[in-house]
Amino acid sequence: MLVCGLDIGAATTKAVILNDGRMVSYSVLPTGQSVNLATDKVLENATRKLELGIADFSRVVTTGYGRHAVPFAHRAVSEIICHAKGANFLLPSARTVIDIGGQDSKVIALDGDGNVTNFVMNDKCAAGTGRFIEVMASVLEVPLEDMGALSLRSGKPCMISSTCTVFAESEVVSLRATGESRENLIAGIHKGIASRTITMGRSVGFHKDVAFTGGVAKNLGVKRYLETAIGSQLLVPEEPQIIGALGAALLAREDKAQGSI
Amino acid sequence: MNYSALLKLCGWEEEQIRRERPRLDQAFGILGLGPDDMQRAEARVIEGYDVDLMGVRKALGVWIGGMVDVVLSKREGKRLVYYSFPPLGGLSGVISVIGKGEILCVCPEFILDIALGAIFDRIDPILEAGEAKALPPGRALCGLNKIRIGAVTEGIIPVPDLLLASSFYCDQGGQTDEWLREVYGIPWVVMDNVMDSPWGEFPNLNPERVSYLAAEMESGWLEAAEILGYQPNKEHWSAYYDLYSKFNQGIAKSNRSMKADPPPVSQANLQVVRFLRNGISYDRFPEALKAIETLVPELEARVNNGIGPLPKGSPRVCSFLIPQRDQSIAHLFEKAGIAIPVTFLSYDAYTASLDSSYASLAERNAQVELKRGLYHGTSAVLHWTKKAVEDFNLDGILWTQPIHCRPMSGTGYFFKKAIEEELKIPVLSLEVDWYDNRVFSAESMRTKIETFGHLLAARKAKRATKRKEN
Repeated sequence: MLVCGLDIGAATTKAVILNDGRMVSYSVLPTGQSVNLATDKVLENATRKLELGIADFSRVVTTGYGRHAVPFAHRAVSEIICHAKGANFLLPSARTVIDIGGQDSKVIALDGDGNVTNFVMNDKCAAGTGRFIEVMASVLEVPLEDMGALSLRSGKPCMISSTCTVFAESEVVSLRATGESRENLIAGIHKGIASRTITMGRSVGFHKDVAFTGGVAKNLGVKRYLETAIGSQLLVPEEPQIIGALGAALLAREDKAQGSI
Repeated sequence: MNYSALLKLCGWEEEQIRRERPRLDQAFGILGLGPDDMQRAEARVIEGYDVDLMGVRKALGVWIGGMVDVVLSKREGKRLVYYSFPPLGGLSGVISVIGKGEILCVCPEFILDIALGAIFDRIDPILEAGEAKALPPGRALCGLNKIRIGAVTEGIIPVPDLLLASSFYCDQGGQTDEWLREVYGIPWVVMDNVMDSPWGEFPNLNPERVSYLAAEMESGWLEAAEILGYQPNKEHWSAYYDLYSKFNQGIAKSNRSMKADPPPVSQANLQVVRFLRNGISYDRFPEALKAIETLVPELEARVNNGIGPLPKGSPRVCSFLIPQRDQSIAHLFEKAGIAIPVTFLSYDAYTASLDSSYASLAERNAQVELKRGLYHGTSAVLHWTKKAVEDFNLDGILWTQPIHCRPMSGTGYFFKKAIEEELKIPVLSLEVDWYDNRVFSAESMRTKIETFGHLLAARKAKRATKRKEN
């Protein structure tokens, strides 16, 4: 049984294809200007090797901020539910998921079956999300993928006190002008993100094991500061960006098994 | 201009439209409302409200009529008194009674928020004017106060003859009135107090607090009576109590209907009816009464037939207040399968807990204000919320955390923690502004609301399975 999960996020669109419960393909592409275009492309990418078309999927479930904009989807499910489901599939011992994506961040409590039991999500502010890191990478002229490794070289992370992306940008520019090293600045940025995530998630709690998903989970600096604050190692899936799409695909499979039309 | 279709949709009779046409033409002219606005309002009413219910339609009509009344009040030779929301101590009500036909006593920002905001979607320029003149954006200042200042300074509503001010619940209301007083030289009557009740006191009240508040209210009445030249007597008070108790009986009956599964109507519709007691003048109040009296049997009929916007067995939550300017938040909840049978502000359980030993009128009114909970403090809000969970068989709480409401903005985390720990039910905290939807987007809340609906439904299903197994 072929099913597909699509996660249309603010920064990237992801597709995961399951065949009889086994992941056979996935793809991650920038969302860009058009949700429909991004969906078509990511599906084309994911299905190319398999020589499949949309008609071959017995069910498609979408998630992410663009989830309601996909005309051929059978169901749209919030990304919080999908991240819990996906994380539970890959990391069954996880009872908390920290998901930091391009536009939002969440702390999710889940049970042993991958059901959400509590959650908290950031409000309209971009501070503490992938977008925040993107802005800072651009200000510091550092490729996004190098940010994590650079911050690990810091001996003394700066204190970035602003909780707003715009104000923090000014703060970083000012600190750079005083001669602060890029490493210390980046480490300060990552420490700030970790600190905001911990504060936000306090009402849910960080019960072990804690998984870290979303694009920002690839950033070793943020991971390190989160681990220090929580006091335990975070479980990071091999490809943390596709967990929402994987969860959507798993729900598609469950729907099909339960006879949903 | 053709506004008949809109007004009929809002429960107006042909004869009433004909009779009030000159007033409507004049008021809509002052408000800058044209044919496009009428068409848009019609579409918004159909989309946003349950127009199968005549009680809801009539309530919308009362808000439009109330807006016309306040806009034209001075031109029609009336004296004008403004009070703030939440109103305190029945004084505004009794002034409405004694000044029938001569004094218009209203909460103008509440009327404009619903009529010009929710119905016509034309409140933003008023909010912006309030920001430009006195209450700048981005500083956690209340939308209702911005509307008051913006509408007065733009000449949308007249400068009043008296302000009934209070900083008891919120310092901003008092400060807004102070601004108007300084700029326009408007006399005011201030009734003050502080919310310094000890934690755990509620539902009992410290008699000294009751006496102090009663003394504040009594001196406020005397001062207002002197300024207006009217002394309220027993007949005025009993006329006020008679009218408002009839309305409150309607609220109690609608609350009873909302205990049904499924609740017969969306809370977004009920709120627009119930809030009529918080802004409309005495002259329009018989129409408000008619609206709720029309609605009550409509709701009962739906309950008897098991009709409601959601299927039976849907998860049920209590909200503090639903943003009234933007119906889409309430509808997002319904789309996520969550019913809101009760809000804190409409819950009337406090009436059963009133102590009859208070002798004076002022003390009795003061007691009502404190027993409602809002003026007592957060522990009282928690007390009634917990009672509502039992009364309405709730599965969770929706805390619409008003980011620009100074008395409420600090309590979200604390409230969530207390409810989750004590009642073991989930709480969703949403950052909103009840009166200004420029600062949040309903769409941005979709993820949280859908997840909350999923979580509540899963918990409810699990409980049902357990019950079956036992």
